[in-house]
Amino acid sequence: MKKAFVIVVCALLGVVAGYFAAQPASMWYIQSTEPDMFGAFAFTIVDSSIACNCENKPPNEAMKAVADDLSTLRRWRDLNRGSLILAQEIGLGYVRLSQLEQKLGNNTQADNDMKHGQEELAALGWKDVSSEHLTTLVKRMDSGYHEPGQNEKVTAVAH
Amino acid sequence: MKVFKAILFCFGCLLAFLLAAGVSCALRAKYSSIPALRTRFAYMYAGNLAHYSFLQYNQAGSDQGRTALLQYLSLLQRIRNEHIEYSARTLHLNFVLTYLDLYRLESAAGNSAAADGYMKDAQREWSALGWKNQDASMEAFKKLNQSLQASEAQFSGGDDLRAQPTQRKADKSKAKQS
Repeated sequence: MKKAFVIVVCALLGVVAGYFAAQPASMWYIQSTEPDMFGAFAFTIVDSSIACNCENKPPNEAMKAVADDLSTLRRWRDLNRGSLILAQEIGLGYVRLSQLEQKLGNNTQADNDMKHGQEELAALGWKDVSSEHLTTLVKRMDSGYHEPGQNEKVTAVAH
Repeated sequence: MKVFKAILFCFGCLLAFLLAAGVSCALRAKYSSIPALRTRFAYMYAGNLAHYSFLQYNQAGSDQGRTALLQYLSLLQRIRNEHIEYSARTLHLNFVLTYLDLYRLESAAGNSAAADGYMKDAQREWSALGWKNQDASMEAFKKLNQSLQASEAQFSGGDDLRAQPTQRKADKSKAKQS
């Protein structure tokens, strides 16, 4: 009787352990079977921090955040050479970085970053990569984040 | 013998634990965690691709725009075919907007047969939305299409840029109300 009780307790503990293990196991399952879906999750995390925080922080901090996120995107692109989505986001990230550099008065660095952004976006076939156009485009895109009730980039910008 | 029995009992306990954990984990993963994660990731993926494809369509050449829009369309198809839990209305609306983008792109490129095909697809998705008093006619589409086109034209160049993100959202609400 005692033994049966101990086995039942073990089984119950197993049920609880399995319940909590399901979440990480599911994450691992999706990561291995649908890497593109999982990649979108990671991309969204980096991407939302790159775009949303620029205006809520002092330029110095914002620049550090954008530079860090940009370097994450670049490292990631090294692993996914053909990813055009990453290329586009890197290009736009450089434009954001250039805007922040300009705010801090680092004009040479700002020009350099803008040049990098223009190169990335021109390689994607963008027709107008003038700094004026890209700056206004990024400002307009980011302004969508500050509209009440518009947290999703997609809802805001694209569809 | 006693030691052997004790080992056997411990093994039995471990087996019960592992079996119960495996079954519980598999059941929760299959019926709850995996569908929920796939839904969350699908929304994120669709969001990323919508943003990317729209900018490619709006800022790059027609070939790059077409490729990006078709990539987005294929993700929407995948969400539908794999029965990923996703708001049916959002999915229909995203199909409508993407087909209309493709329609405008093909019209501008002079591929009228392809453009007509996309317009029909957009109309089909529009009808499937099931809004009350909706006007799924070609006329309503042309109106929606013109309004989207006007907002995109502002975004792609000039001082005033394209429709504010809010403008595009307003277009959607307008479409919803019509």
